[in-house]
Amino acid sequence: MSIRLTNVSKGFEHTQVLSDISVTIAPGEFFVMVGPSGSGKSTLLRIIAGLTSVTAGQIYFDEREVTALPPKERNLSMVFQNYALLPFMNVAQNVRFGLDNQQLSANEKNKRVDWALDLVHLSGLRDRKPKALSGGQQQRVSLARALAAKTPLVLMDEPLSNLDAQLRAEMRAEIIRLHREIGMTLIYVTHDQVEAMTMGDRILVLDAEQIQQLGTPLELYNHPANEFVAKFIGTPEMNIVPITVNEHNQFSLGTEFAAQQAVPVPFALPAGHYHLGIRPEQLVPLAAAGTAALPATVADVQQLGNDTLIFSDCNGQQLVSRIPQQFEVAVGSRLQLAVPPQKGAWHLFDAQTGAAIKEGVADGGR
Amino acid sequence: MNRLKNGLQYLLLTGVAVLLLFPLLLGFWASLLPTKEIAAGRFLATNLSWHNYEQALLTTPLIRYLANSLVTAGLITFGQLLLCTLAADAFVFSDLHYKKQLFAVFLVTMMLPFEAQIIPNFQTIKAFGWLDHYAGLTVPFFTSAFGVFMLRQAFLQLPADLVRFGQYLGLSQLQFLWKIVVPYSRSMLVTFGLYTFLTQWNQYLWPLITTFSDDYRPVQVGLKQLQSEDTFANWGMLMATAMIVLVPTLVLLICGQKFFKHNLNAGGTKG
Repeated sequence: MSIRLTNVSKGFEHTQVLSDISVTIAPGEFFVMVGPSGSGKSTLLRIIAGLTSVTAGQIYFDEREVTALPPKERNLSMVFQNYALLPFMNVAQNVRFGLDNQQLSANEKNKRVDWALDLVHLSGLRDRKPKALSGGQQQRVSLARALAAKTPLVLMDEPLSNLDAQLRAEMRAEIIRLHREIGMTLIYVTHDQVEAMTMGDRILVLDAEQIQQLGTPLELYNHPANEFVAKFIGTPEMNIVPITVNEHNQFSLGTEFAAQQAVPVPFALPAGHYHLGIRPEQLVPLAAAGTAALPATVADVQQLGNDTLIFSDCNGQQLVSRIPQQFEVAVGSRLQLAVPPQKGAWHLFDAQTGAAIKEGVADGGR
Repeated sequence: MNRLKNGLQYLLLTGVAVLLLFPLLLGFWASLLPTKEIAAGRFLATNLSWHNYEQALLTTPLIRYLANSLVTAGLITFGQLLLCTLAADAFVFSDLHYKKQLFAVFLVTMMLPFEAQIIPNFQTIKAFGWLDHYAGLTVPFFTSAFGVFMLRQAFLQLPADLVRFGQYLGLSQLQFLWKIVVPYSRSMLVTFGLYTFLTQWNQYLWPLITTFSDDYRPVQVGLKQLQSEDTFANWGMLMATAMIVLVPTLVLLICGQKFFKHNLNAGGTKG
């Protein structure tokens, strides 16, 4: 089922939550909506579900307008953050409960329950009460309940945020597998950018009532549309620092040009003030001092085993580097951080608006 | 040190328990003695028997009183469970405007003592011709602010996601109440039911002024009636009737202990 939102807005009494959201979701797509808490992502999901009304705009399912229809008539299922299982029913009864108001024969209902429990590998626990299950198993029951209805659209509202890290990784793979096997349209809300990156075919980044960017995980990572997306996607966060460029195509950190720290820009860039974003893995220390490098003082080192994170101070700006190996360096020692020579690693943003700058940087853009 | 503290605590508890149980034990003992011995003050007599119980059941309208109490307390419990549940549902799940303000006004009625309502209630019941009738005994108690308050607190504990789940399934408000809210809160409903039944079983003032015949008189008033009848100076038998009246409440209390401990505390801290 395809979903189309046109100019959807939602306001509560005194606050605007969503402004002018327009997006089309393709049939069978794994569509992730991500944003910090309070960004309106859950509200948008509830609007699609029909649990919340819109203040303006229209919603179409397969070109049929559903804006005013109640959830029941939209033919969808939902998975909730807190599972929403009924504690007084066992696993099988819980799965069956979602089918009770559908016009199905008892035989068909039983078949659906068995099928759904089998899909989530819970057939052996069908007589247990939810209380006797782990958090991950409870969420599987909730998934089975949503799948048993065999609706063409499934909505998931932060389904993994109550689980611990290990279970979360396991369930992530599980949901991806279920989506592949069944092929329904799946709209998934999360505040976790790792979930968004690893699961979604496409990701919608929401913040401050609005769509910040819509694209595939790699589009978002390689070509963030603005500083918000740049910082939100990727861990550790992208380094974003103010820079000043002079007429000789040299730049220095800070809002004033400092000649003694000037470093050449590896491509033609008009003079002015910018915000420069560099991913931590693109900002690595040089073995020896060079001209295209920023001198920095090591403030902290975190050894992750496979990676080393180096937090350093460069001319009053905090920078972080990620080195894909174990790397010994003492706190307080001096480093030369290499400025990446390729344009693709330079993310330039307008110093005032924070929007990505595409012109003048030529082939770096899409 | 710890053992000493423990021992002292047990000593204190035992002392209080004896103090509390003494009248009950005295009553039970007296119910086994012939009235003659009691009247003569010979409490240490040894000719114990169940004779008084036999007499109480066979010669007094005690069984009728018990039945009246059972019907009255049962009807009130049913009425309160039904109406308080519906009211609490409206206060929690409906889209009523000014829900909170209305609930506050509603709570004020909890602070109005029952004694203050007796005269107007009596006049109303009299006007309806419900004096000395089950209707007069039960209808005025079919709802209580306390019950609505307690159930509202219980319903508020329902996870928000379950409410949304009910919405997306398209359950009507009554279906939602019946299929999700009531089973979810059933231990609170059982506690409230037991509490109501016990309270109503022990009602005294209202049945005293609204019943005039043994056909509708409940036990508590019945006991008083037995005592005040001229011919009735049979203390042994009176004690036996009192003991019999205690039995249903004791059974309910013991069975419901688990629920009481759990839910009344929960309501207290979460409320």
